[in-house]
Amino acid sequence: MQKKKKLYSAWKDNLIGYAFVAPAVLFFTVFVGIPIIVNVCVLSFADFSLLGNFKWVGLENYRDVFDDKATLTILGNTARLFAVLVPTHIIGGLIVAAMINAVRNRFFHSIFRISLYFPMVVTTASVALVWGYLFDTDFGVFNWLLTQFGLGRVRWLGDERWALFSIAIFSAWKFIGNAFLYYYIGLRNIPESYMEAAEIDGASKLKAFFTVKIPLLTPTIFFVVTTTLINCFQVFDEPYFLTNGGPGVSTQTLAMQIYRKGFGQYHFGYASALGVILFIMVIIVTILMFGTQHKWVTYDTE
Amino acid sequence: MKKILSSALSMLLVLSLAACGPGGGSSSSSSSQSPSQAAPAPEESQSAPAEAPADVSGEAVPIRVALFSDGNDMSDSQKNVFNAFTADYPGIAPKFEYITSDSYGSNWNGYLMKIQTMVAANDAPDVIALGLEGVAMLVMNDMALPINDFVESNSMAKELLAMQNEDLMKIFTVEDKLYSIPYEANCVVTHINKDIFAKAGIELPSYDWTWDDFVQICDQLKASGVVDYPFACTQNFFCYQALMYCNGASPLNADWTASAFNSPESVKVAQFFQDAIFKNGYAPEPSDTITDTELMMQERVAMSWCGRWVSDDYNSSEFYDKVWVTTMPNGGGGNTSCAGNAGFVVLKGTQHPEEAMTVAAWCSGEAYTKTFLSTGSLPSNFTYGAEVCEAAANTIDNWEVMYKIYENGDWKRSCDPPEYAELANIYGDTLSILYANQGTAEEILNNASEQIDKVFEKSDYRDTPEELATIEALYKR
Amino acid sequence: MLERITTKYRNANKSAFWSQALLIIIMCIVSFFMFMPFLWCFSTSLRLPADSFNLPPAFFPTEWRWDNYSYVFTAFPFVRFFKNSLIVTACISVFQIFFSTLAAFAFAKLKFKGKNVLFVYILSGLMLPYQSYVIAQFFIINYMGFYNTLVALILPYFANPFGIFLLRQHMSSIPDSYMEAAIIDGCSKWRIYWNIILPMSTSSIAVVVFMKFLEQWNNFFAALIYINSEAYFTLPMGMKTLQGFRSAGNLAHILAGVMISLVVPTIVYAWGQKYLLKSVALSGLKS
Repeated sequence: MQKKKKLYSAWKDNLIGYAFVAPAVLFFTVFVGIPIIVNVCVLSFADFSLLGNFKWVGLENYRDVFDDKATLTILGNTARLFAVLVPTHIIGGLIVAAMINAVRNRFFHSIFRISLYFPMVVTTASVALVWGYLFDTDFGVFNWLLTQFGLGRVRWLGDERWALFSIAIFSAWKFIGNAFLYYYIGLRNIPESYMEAAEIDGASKLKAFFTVKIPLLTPTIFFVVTTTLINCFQVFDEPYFLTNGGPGVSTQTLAMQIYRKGFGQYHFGYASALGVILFIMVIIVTILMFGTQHKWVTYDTE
Repeated sequence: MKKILSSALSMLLVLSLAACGPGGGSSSSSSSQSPSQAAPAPEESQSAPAEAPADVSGEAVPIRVALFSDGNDMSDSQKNVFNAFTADYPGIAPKFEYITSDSYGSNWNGYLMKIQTMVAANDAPDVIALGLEGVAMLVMNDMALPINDFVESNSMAKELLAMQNEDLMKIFTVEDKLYSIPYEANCVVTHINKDIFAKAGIELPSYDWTWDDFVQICDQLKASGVVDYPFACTQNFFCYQALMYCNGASPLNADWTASAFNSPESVKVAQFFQDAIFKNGYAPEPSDTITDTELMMQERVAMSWCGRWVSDDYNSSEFYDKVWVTTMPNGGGGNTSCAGNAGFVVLKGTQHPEEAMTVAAWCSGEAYTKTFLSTGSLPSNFTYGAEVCEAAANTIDNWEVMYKIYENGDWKRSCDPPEYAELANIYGDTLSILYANQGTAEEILNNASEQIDKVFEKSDYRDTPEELATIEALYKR
Repeated sequence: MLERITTKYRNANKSAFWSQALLIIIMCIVSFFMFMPFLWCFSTSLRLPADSFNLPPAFFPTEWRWDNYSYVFTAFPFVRFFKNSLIVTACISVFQIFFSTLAAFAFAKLKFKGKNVLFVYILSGLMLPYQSYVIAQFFIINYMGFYNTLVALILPYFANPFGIFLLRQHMSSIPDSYMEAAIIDGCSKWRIYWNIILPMSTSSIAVVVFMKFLEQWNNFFAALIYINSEAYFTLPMGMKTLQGFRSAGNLAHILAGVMISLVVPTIVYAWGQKYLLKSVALSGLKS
């Protein structure tokens, strides 16, 4: 009798639990779970068009991807974006967050905070329009400034060597607010008493910052690094609006190439295969991040 | 517990019901009932009374007409052009659907993709506007209905067909099947800022000017100092093709089976533009942000190449009275321009082919031409076209030369095999690499040629003899 | 002795003052560069269209052309774009927060079989790049008949892994003792969720709503793929058409449009930022 009741209540508990998570799980499954499985297991091995004509082609899509000269450039572009964005977000964001945190004047404090986060809030499409004009070789503000200082013009978006860098500058400007915000909140949540204790021990402010605050911030840093890396793989709006991937494919990103191959050239199989490659790369990065996590991230469980 | 479940469920239900309305459910009345579409209501309510009697006397057949436009650039009279149609044919109620896509240059690629998606979702329009670029693709995918029989039996259509330029008509004819009576045409011409030429003391060039004349004008303009740069490079491949044609080059070989993009003539053209930007200071570096038209209107350059489609832009900046157009400079290929046309094509999936064809044919007629093309592209109906251009006060000067180009046969169509979507991407990339000076013209074009040949090799459209025959039958003047 | 302490204190104050001043100057420069594009945009949007390309970029136009704004606002269906964007983001914000709090509550406070598996399953969404499954999602949505409707932009975002994660972290930190009293009173799980846990999570909820709102307000990719008629354009797509306007050569008008597009995010930001800063939710980024 007792057992039966217990069983019944466990069964009821399960049911209630499932009911609570059901909506989220349902929508997640339909629009993310099933698509990713279909994409990996079916579409990337097939050739098909919008009008049907489904055909299995085995590994041909993957072969095409690796035969394509553009693929290497595009992967290289992702690496170059990493090289610029990861340090600017992770270190730059931390520096400004620490500096703003140290500003005591409340008026300036909030002005600075707003100016750092505001670009994050506005529509990329809007500000990219503005930046396109700022970057213009002949009539842009940046080049005008450079010539004022007696420097030569830079072909910001027109030159293969500069274009991706220019996009990275724009992206850093637009999204540094995110990293900044996490650091800022993280720093504010470190009790002032920790620092005071360190200072009484005779450590300088700077040293105390490194020995006390940074270790306490490692979970935030870990989070910012991981999300920045994952986001770097998905950069789309910035090159789309500023250069459309050009010149040639020199600013093309993986996300853009998937869009262009699939929705621009009807090669859905190819695009799916590229999507799978993107997926695998993100998984590798995530595993690497979590694998090395225990070495430098300290979780203060209190 | 039950409460949440039921409330969640009912919410889902309501939502999915609301969703089904505009999407899949009632394809015919598609969007007009959806609440989020209240904004264009004023225009619709104006047109409603005109359609109302038809509804009473019997069910008016709704015909959905897809336009490659976002509707923003259209006036109210253009949006309501079908009022004139319903007056003549009360039993048919055509309605525009604006379809936009991201435009690589001004190609029809994304638009056709959207149309295909709608076909796949069983929600396709009955009639679509189509530029010559998409004809081969649409026909070889078996998406279009030929209208030969309809034209035979319909006096209005027959009459309109007779008013067309015979050569231009062949673009929409594949293996003797006619797919449309075009409504607009375009040929690429040299746009010249008269004021700047006058200030620099340069005479306007004659119809048969040569490439050397053109280069000389560039030098004069540069020396005069009245303008930042003599001309703006075009980023639109359609226009670039015109520059190739007048230099005796072409992106593809004569039967569209292989690339000719790296021919010596083609390399010469590419080299000229690369040098113009990076060596001679003839042109500013093209950018995705500032278009050639914009440079033209800001009077930063004195010349550019495009069709008549820019006249809308000119008008909105009250710029039209400064522009004078003429032929392409002869660089060894004659004063040959790149030209084409666009027409309304009836899709195969339509429930009302007869009515759809009536609408499609009517659109190349007087009312449509006069409403739509007094500015914008050149009407392909030459009879009404000349009238329209004459009457339009705000139009570019010397537009007559465009019809003259057609009459003299100084044009070639753009090369648009069924693999157009992929080629357009290669062309776009190539131009951007060229303009960015990332290698010599020859290297860049060799690379592009290789890619083009690879596309043909991998193409799904060239497997059977029938397909090859169709490609051969495409009009390739 | 006392004197020595006070001078030391004063010296410390003095150096603190100078370091503060230096800090403020540096940050002013940084802030100026962050704001510069907006300033340029604003000043150019007020100029005569013909002056748009003039350099140096004077920050004060010679003539204040406010009618650039009224022109763009009437010539361009901003109202419709705003409305579509609002419908999409509001629907997503409301439903995702409802579903996320439900799920987070279950993951934090309820016991049921397979809880951890389900939680990890949902969390995997945090690292899945959208483009890696967009092709399949596109065909599914097309099959459902939602192509070219706002629904296509709304439904896929009802599950919000990041929100579930944050909310679960927060709800886990609420002591069970609050619940126990209610359980003894015989309250149902729903009542506990609705009457106890939700009211205690308002600041985390505000943060999740705020972030989701911004994310979706700026969502361009999905609209690019799913929407083809202008009637359903959201603001980012609308901005793209505005960009197409540029061949009309009127930079001042375009930039006026850009300024108009900034209004709603600014308002939302003004509302949301106090929650953002107060919230401890974001600092609980612990696994």
